[in-house]
Amino acid sequence: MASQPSTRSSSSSASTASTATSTATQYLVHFVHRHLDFRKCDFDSSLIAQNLSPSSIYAASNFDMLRPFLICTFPDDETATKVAKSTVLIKHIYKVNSVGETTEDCVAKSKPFTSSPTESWKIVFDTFASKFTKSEQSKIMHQFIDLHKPSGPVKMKDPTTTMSIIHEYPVKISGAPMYPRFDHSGSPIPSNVDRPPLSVYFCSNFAAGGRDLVEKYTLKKRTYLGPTSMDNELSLIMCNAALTRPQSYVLDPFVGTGSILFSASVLGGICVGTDIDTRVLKGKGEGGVMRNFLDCNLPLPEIIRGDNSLHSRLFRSREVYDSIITDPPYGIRAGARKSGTTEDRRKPIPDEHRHDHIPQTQVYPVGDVMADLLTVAARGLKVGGRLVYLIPSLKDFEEGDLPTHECLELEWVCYQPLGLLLGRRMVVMKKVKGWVEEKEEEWKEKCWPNGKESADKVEKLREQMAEAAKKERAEGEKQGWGGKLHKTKKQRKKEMRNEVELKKFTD
Amino acid sequence: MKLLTHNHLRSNVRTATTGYPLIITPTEIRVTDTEYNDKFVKHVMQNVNWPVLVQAASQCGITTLPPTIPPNLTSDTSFLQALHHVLVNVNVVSGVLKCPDTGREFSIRDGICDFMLEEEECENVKI
Ligand SMILES: C[S@@+](CC[C@H](N)C(=O)[O-])C[C@H]1O[C@@H](n2cnc3c(N)ncnc32)[C@H](O)[C@@H]1O
Repeated sequence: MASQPSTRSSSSSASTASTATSTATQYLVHFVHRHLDFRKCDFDSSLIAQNLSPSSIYAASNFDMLRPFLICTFPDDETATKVAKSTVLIKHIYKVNSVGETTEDCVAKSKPFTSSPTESWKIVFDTFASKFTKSEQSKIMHQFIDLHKPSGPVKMKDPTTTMSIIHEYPVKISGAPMYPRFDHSGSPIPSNVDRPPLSVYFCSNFAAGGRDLVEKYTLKKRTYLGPTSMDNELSLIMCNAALTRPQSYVLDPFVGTGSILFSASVLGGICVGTDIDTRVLKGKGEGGVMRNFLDCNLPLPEIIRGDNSLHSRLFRSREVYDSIITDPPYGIRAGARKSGTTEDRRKPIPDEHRHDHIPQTQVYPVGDVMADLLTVAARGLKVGGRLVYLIPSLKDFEEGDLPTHECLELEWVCYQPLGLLLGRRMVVMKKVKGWVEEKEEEWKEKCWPNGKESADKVEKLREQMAEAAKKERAEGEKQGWGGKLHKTKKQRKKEMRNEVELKKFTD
Repeated sequence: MKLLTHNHLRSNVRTATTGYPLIITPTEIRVTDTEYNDKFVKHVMQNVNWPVLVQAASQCGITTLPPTIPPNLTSDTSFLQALHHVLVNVNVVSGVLKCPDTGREFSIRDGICDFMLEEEECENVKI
């Protein structure tokens, strides 16, 4: 569950009653049926970025993680359009004409939807987590048409007004339909055919969400990629959660192939990235980190090869960044290293090799990686700025074990399942307190809420994840997925099929 | 490396006292064209060390910056635009940065500054 920790006197504590006065225009937010646990964070972040308090837009109690529809009020159309555009997980924002518990109820409450004989129109039919046959659809559409008798012409392509009739049915926690009306072969399932929907909406199409960026900049279209490159949708979600907007000053201290900064740049951020590994920065002939930025005509990020554990020695400035967004090294895909060596295996470097010599590094324990990251954020962020990072974790990872910092407040923890037992979490923290240089060490010591125990837990993540992956593989074999869960083509295909399935329910 | 970044960077070697500002010896400079934004310039200005910027610009062959910040800065759009240009459009693509205290040199190649330290230059190493 996306959680807003209770420590935060969240905006939801404000009055929720004022949300839906009968006179104000109601809008219907339609989320994509993906990243379910990230949707609230994505929407709220876009609201906050527009200086809107989420509680003034919708009642928190109306939000249900498993429902992709949410009734809202916006101060005006322009604001609603802007918010829609800046989200990653909203498909569309509609203007509500009527909402009913059943089709008949929705028809009865509906109002005329065109206002002049010259206004062209069409009606589209949409169903979530269920299906209606063509003849059922047409029958329902005609109930609205017969009642209001719009006088303008019907126009299928770009009419002035497009109305949508949406029937929403419930889904299971897995995201699959709870009561499908038809089975795979298309025959009706008797027990489900007449189940009432959760809600029926009659609304006019109004503003598209920011989904176009997800497709436009998909990884598939990039020249420079590595095994650590993050998919564009998730990195856009992270950037939005970090409130990145035009001219935000953004840092990724573990920049790797630059995929997070790429998305930040797409949103207009001005970016700085550091990484310890010169090979990942330079690439092998594809042009390295800068390549994709050049290809897409985005402003080039500043890239510095340096060690994050020495960040404060390298950067003198404090409280300059609006966002710090990163996927830290946990030793799962890209191991963490830091400068120096623990053993006495140093050899003098001959002068002619000084230039290409790669300095020795030592293992960088995960507990320190995290403590350093929070310290860099506490020092580097402006007050009000956001730190957003990923942490691989088991489904039932204790959120109380996440590292803390005196200057940072936990805002969101969103879980993305990657299998039955394992997944990753996106953590969002807000800088709430000014940096005090003298307190650096004292604060860092207190980073782990349960002391060594929490640090150890995070330290053990790698083994736990490997363990969980093994279990899932075994489970997979039992169920006939055949072998490695996330690596095989077969599994990928299955995942893609799942996506397609999900899409079917939402389109 | 942009001059904005240069303004924030310092030498990270153990023996440096302040390590600031790094001395630039550019061998290639590329001037890019990025969109001017009033808000960004005003914001980053608050953290810019002006004399260091003036010096860095002159090391890159730009000698037009006034020695002190004009008092009516916020209203002077043409000044802010020029400043934006110096801060983010001027890129040192290759060259060397030198630590003022220790003389340690850091290379800039393909626009990337390399601040990776040798073992004996770090702080947190037991040798
Ligand atoms: C999970 S990857 C991040 C990948 C990145 N999001 C991308 O788009 O490719 C972690 C990165 O941290 C880097 N890294 C490991 N130890 C580091 C350190 N001490 N300081 C800076 N970077 C480090 C690794 O080289 C690796 O590129």
